[in-house]
Amino acid sequence: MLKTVMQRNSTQTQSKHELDIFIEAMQKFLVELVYTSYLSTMNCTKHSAIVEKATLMYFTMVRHLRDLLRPEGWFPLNENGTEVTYNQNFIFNSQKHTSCLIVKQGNKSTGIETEFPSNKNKFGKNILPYVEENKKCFSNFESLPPSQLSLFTSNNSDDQKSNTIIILLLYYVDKKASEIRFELLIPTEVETRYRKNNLSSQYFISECKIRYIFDPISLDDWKGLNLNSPQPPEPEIDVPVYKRK
Amino acid sequence: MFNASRFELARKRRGITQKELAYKIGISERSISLYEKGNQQPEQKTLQKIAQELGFPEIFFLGENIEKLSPEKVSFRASTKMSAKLRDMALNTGIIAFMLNEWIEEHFDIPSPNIPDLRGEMPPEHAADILRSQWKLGEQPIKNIIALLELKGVRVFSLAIDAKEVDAFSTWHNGKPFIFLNTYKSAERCRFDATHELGHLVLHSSGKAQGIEIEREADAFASAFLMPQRAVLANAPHVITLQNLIDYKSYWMVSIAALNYRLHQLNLTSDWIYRTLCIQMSELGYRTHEPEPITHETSQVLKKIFDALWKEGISKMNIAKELGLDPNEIEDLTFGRLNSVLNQTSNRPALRVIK
Repeated sequence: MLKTVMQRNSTQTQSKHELDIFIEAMQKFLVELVYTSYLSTMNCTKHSAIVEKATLMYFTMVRHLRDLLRPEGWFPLNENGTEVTYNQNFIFNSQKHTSCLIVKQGNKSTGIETEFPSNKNKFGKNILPYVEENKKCFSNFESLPPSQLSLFTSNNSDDQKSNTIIILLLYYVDKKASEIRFELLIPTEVETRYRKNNLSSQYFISECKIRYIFDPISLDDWKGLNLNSPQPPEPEIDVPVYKRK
Repeated sequence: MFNASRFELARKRRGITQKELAYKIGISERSISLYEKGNQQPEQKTLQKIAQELGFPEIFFLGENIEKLSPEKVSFRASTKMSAKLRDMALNTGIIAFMLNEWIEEHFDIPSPNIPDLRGEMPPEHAADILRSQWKLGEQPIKNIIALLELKGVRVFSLAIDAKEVDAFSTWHNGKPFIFLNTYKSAERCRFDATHELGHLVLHSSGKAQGIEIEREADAFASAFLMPQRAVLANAPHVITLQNLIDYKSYWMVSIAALNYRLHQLNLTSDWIYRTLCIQMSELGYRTHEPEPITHETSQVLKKIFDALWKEGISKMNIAKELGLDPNEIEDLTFGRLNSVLNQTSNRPALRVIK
């Protein structure tokens, strides 16, 4: 169930935390991220394999996000098949943590405040220890009074032991609304589902502590774009130079 | 009081040995050595001779101590081919540029450095992609690399050293990135050198940027930054001939050799075609004389600064005097930009012939 939706302009945040800085960076990159990943799918035709569009978009998004975050101290890692982007110097609550960002396609509830999202494609069991870590780290998040309900101000002693946080970046391409919705969330529970005729477990996010919902990005502006069309001329660079008074 | 460090700077800037200088001004080599160590002060007459011979005003030798620029702090392009004398000439030009830059920053607001740190286990081509993303450059050719560098807070100066061994170098000084370019090279080569040095600033920490491998990384960075893979793959000519290369190079504004290398690196040409094109280029002298050359890029920041100063009646002479330098020294560092603006007497309009 939805636990907390933190809005960007929350007055509850007392000081700038690493996650805030990260969200600011994400906000800055999001349009570019969508632009690049959406453009990557534009050469798909009716003859494309059914998964091509979604796969291309996912791969481009992961790669481009890493490109954008690398100068901010984030590194790529393939953890048993899961594409993770991690930052070892993620500081909150005066503690250094390793933060792991996973990009995942969400379901249609992604980015809608009144609904609870989950991942569209399954997680494997690799996700379980991470979610458990998150759960420990944020165990008393709800018990804090609203005035202290800031990102990562938990006083729980378990926080001292925890050193990994997993953050999901969920995205959903809403064709009807012609937009892409994004949100960041910190998962704390998963539910197990079993496929018919298959006993292997699949895991889906069922609970989280923090959701940060970004404004949806409209796809209408880019629908007419053609990759092969001539590019507009680059504007001349004007370096600002001012005389000191 | 005579300053030994300034004396050493001036001598090395001119590429003169102690022995040569001693011979030229008619004193012993030992005296020169003592002056340089600060163990002895030259007489007024000797100081005049030193100043005249080295082309620095006397006042320059009486200023405050100047911090040396250690070769370890600098990334030299083609450092293996460079003699110690040329290296010292370049390094001491750098120190004079620091003085000029300090003066500029006292009087003007210019962009602050915005150079991401991309050190680490990353292929240089990937770093080039990241930097293009960070700087929101897309995948188009970069029209003016020097203006781009200046926009990102890099201080770009010219190296007026007529020696092919000295291409360019870069360093950090007081948290500011500096790039020095030898303008005696072709415009295309200068663009590549500038991007090569950018690669050092982004990929290698100051003081560790030495060695062939590191130079290769900076070359790979420059190649990928100037000619992004996806764009080259998308719009390279289908059939690659020498004439096609000449036409296509004007799009990316790179040398024909750099483009040939990049196309081969991206598997757009076979080994055989690459080698054939290299031979053809050598036969036609394209390695030394670029076909259909582009115009040299110069500093936009320095032009704006000196244009503004000129309007206020401040000339090259004034700045040089304030810094205790020879006016030519400033001109050498500023792409000869001052020629047209400042080589005139202050507050005096230029004369024109009216028919």
